[in-house]
Amino acid sequence: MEAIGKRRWTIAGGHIPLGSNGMEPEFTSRDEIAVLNCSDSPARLRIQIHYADRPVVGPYDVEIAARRVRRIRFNDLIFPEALPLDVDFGAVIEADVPVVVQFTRLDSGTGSRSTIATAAYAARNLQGSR
Amino acid sequence: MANTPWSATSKNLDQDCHNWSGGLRFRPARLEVPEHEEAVAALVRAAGRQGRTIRPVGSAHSSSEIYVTDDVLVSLANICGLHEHDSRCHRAAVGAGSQLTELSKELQSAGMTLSNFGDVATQTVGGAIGTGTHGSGRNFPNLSMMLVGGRLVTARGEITTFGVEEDLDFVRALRVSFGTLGILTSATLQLEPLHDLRRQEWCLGFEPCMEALDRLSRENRNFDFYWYPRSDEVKIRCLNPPGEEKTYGAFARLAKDETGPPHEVIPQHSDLPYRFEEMEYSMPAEAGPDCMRKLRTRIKEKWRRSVGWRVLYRYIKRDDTWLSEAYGRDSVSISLHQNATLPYWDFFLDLEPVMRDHGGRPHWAKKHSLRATELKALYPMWDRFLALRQELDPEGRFLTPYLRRLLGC
Amino acid sequence: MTHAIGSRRWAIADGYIPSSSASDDPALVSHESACVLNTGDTPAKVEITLFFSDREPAGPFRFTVAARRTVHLRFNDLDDPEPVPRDTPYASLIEADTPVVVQQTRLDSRQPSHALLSTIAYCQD
Repeated sequence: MEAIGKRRWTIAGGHIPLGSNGMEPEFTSRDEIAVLNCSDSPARLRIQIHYADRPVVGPYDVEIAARRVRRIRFNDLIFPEALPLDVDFGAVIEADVPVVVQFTRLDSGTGSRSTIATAAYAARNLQGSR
Repeated sequence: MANTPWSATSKNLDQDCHNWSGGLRFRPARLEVPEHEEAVAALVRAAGRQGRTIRPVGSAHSSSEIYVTDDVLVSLANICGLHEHDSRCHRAAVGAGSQLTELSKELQSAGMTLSNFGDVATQTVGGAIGTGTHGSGRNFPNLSMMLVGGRLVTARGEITTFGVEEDLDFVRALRVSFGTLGILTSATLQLEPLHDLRRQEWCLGFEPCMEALDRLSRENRNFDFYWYPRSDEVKIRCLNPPGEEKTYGAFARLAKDETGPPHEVIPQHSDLPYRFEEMEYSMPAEAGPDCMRKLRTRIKEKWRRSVGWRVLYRYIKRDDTWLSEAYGRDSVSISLHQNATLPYWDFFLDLEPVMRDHGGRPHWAKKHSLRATELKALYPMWDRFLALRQELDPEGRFLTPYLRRLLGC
Repeated sequence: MTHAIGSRRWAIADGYIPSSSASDDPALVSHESACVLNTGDTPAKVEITLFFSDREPAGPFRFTVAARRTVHLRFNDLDDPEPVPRDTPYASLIEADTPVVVQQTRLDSRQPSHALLSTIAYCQD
């Protein structure tokens, strides 16, 4: 199957919400990426996290098997370091085969916010390398 | 020299030693790596003549300061290997500096295995025994209970032999004594015939796990669980002889299934690429569930923001080792972790009172804030241990300022 | 003659149909749609392949979007060759024989304060 996607993706507006309401892990507030690997080879991803006021942390290494989709919550990444919640961050994602990345935020915090926001990737505008 | 994570470049140290997590850094006046136990004895005698103190070190996995010194540090790395074994009664005499994974391969060739391991197997025999290392299982005491005899170097620099048949009380004191009664050079271990175990791990919610906890802990050979603060999920970890597995598919999702000898299947995290700091307390088993609930509430309320590491809940069978965390009571241990590169002390100190309130005893080789007055109240055999220590090492050959504060001597 | 806008290959990585809804109102049932717009003068033959985290892909699901028309395809309604499992993360690869534009919409009404998501899918340029 022919791969679709890009090898380099970025998220500029990461911010994992602090509070959660409702059953977990279903309604755990989170920033999450869904990564689709249509190719016939496994995809190895390296993620680097950028902050406003401290050095880059990474790499976080993740694999997606061939012909599979995988969701990764930024909350659950702990190697090399857990991301702090409620802090602005950006992520650069590099893959060794083209993949499609979709970013989603679920915010089940207090108040009537129960929003799911998503953005398809800005990487199309990045003209990433093939 | 053996591949220890803390190795210094030469005997005249021009850089610090550090422990596995990197959180402890210190510079001993001398680092010795003797080749045989006679050399260990000679080092202790020399220290005596020079008025120096001497501390033994295994793999430097400890994150408390029990082996930190600015005087002489002696590594047992070369006092290793399987020396003798008896396949009838499943015992083996091994060098106290033997690293558990390497030793297990030798034991495997001799048809034997340790009954249990901790979550990592990077420790040496002497270190694992002396600090109260344990795995999990209602029917499994900590690893120090394997020790049934051996040889050690006394504070006077003499090599003595001991065994449970002749010196049971001494062995009860020695088992968990983190190198304060003598330097163990050879350990005779009670082992088991080699066998396979099947590890199965299942994911489920916190409440379903707590509801089934008593049953889960009793019907598996080894059982423990992880609770993940950032998803509020639990992973139950079960080990059984192949053919005796239990199935939990009705209320949990199978996440791992592997079979192999104990040294491959019990320790799961010997090769973590990233370091962590840890605090662990052991409490009476019946206090475990309530403590876990209170920790979970507090962590979700206050610490999820900065802590992503799982909390580990394990079972330890009671023993009669004087300074064992499980002395006199079937116990549950709860361990908190944090990335070594992130702030951890505030997190640990905030939760330590919860564990203390449940009758907790801190792990000797992990982070805690207790000193002699608090510790004495936790151990019925405290005074007897101190009296024995004073008798065996009146000049404090094996002590450091930290140990004096810890033990109150 | 209108030149078709879009691309022949699209992907939606984050697909999910919740099985429950807080309301019985048909307009508020949890659902996920791919809206496919064909601005060209010839019909577009579309094939969807679904991907999962722990099984081989499912499909192809076939349909046609007539010239200068749009189809709002509900993933809930697909069943040939098989229905889309509920409460299961999935992804879709959408391939057409002529350029189209694809937009994904999801209504998640598991909780009373329901959530709406809508975004342009990723396209292969």
